[in-house]
Amino acid sequence: MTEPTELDLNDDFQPGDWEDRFEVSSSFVERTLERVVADRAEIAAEADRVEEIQLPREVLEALSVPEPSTDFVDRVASEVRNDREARWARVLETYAAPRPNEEFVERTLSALRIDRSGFRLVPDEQQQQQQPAPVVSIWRRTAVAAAAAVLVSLGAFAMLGSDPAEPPELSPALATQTYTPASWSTALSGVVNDIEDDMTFEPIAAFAMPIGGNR
Amino acid sequence: MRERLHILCGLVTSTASLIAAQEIPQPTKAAAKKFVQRYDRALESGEIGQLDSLFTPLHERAHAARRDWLSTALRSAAWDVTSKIADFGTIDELGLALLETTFRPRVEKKKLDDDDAIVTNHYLVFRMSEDGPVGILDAEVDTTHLAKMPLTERADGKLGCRACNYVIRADQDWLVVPHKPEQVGCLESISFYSLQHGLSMDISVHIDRKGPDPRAALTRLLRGKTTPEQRVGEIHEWIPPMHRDETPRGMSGVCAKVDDPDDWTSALHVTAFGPVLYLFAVQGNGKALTEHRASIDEVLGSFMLRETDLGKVRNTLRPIARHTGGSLKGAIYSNPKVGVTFAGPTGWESKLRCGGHLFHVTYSCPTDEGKLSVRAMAPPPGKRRWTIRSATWSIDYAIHRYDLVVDDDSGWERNDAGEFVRELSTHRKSDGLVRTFRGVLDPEQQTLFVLDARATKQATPSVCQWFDGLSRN
Repeated sequence: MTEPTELDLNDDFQPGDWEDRFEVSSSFVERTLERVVADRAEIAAEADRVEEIQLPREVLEALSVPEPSTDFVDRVASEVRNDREARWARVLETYAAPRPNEEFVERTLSALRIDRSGFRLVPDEQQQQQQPAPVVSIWRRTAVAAAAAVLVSLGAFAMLGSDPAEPPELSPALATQTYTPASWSTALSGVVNDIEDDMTFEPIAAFAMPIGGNR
Repeated sequence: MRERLHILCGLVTSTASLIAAQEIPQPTKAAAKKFVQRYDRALESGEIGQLDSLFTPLHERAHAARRDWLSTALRSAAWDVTSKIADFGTIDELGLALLETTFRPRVEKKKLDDDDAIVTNHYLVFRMSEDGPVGILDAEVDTTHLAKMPLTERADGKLGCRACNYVIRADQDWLVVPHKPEQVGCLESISFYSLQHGLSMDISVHIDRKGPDPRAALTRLLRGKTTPEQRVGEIHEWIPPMHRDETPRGMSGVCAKVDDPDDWTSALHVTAFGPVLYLFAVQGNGKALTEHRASIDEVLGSFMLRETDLGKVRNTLRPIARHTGGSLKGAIYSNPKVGVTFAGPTGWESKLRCGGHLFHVTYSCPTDEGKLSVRAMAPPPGKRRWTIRSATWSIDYAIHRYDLVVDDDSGWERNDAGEFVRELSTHRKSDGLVRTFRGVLDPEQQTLFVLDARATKQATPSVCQWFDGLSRN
């Protein structure tokens, strides 16, 4: 049979060209099928015989898996690690990490019981007493700590935005305090009232629920 | 021939100008209504970006502060927002709407009570463009002072305060916006926003109990409230122009400039008359301040004291007394406006203070470090009354900020008079100074009283004795 050429596959090729080029007779299919059917019993018998054949021990030994060399595992692990690092490096060179959405940050900080001002939200005593001391393996604790570090980093990233000079965002409750329609006037109020160790009380509207808290 | 050509060109130019002028409609109340609807929908969307798309702010910093506040609100909950136009007026090509905007949290009805709603009053200033109204200013306003400043009848632009003893005048190029005292923390605060340029001037009135020294006050302000990135100019003598020829006895003043790295300049003028300090903070970008200095000078030049007899002002502490409606005679403080009379410890030094509260009185023991203070606070801005939650936050936030450790907290308990009372014992981490607090919320929840007793451990028993003895009538 002649290998088809590019010319055969172009638009000029017609079905009738097959007969001219490959010279397949019209009875080829019928004859082949008859032959296969006629030999079926013989083929099956031969297959049965092959299954019963016991391979010689020498042959089996020659085909056995060789013992790995002493540094085989180390070399493979090293190769895998290098390959993985190279692939990650290629991916990270072009990958732009998505910015965590607000809900994710809230859930994460809430789960870690840290508010946006960076303050640790301490559970109340009753809650602390009700919770049994967790018994976890050192590996699990390490894994949780690592996950927490990643999540805190993501949270901090989300809070700080792209400009590291920006101050961390305050929680809604505290953020309401920072709003003043006249900043210099408020500043002077703070200066002239900041005497005699007096505290400043400001009315805080329950405008926003605390992070991770209930209304 | 040439003359005819000139006339023809003139006609064509005039006609084109007229057509162009007719393309942009004048601001109307109907346009304001449509704009307000878009404003409400933008807030309801919860996306601050949608709100941004409605504005090209003329006063960038004021707009940014308001935007941050709204952004905080939008992050905290989903809101149903409804704005009503309380007043509308036009100045040249600008539309000015006074709005009452109600934020109602979108929650299940059974969880909703009236106290969850926030009501704010604010000015929305817009101009018309080919695409419709474009906001240039959104400023919160204290409407209790607006009766004297209607948008539609601004006859001479003169305003002032008898209690704070001044008059000032601004023409219609300036939008006058009074602020709530509790938001600024002083007796009175007003912002003037130019409607033509990105210039503003904040005026505020303070009482400096450390003495009538504007230089010291401005020095403390600049030292404590500026950053290394800001360039602070020298402090110069400055007297309001109206009083330069005949400066009243007891009047003095200074000014200084603060330049921010982003070409933003604040020109701070502080004038003292007796214990009263007046701050004039002019702000804008450097170019605008230079180019339009005359219009600023015009407003500053109109400032005038009503009463120039220092004795009358100094001896009566008139601003505090008139603003708060209360008076202090010896140890007895009486305030019919709030409905209280109480007696502090006899023999202790008593003082009226100001700081944006309904009243604030302090008592100091002459022999030890014992101090008592009593203050009355109006509901937080936007709230019709106090709630237990907001009262708790207000007290807790102050305690948190002053690094106090709570030793004992009673929580809110209702007494026989129907008041909610909460008692807290605390000590300061740094030196162990004991502070005891009592919060009292009246049955109508209109006023939160906070009693604050502080003393060394040795003096605590005697201070707390007086603390417990303070009672309202």
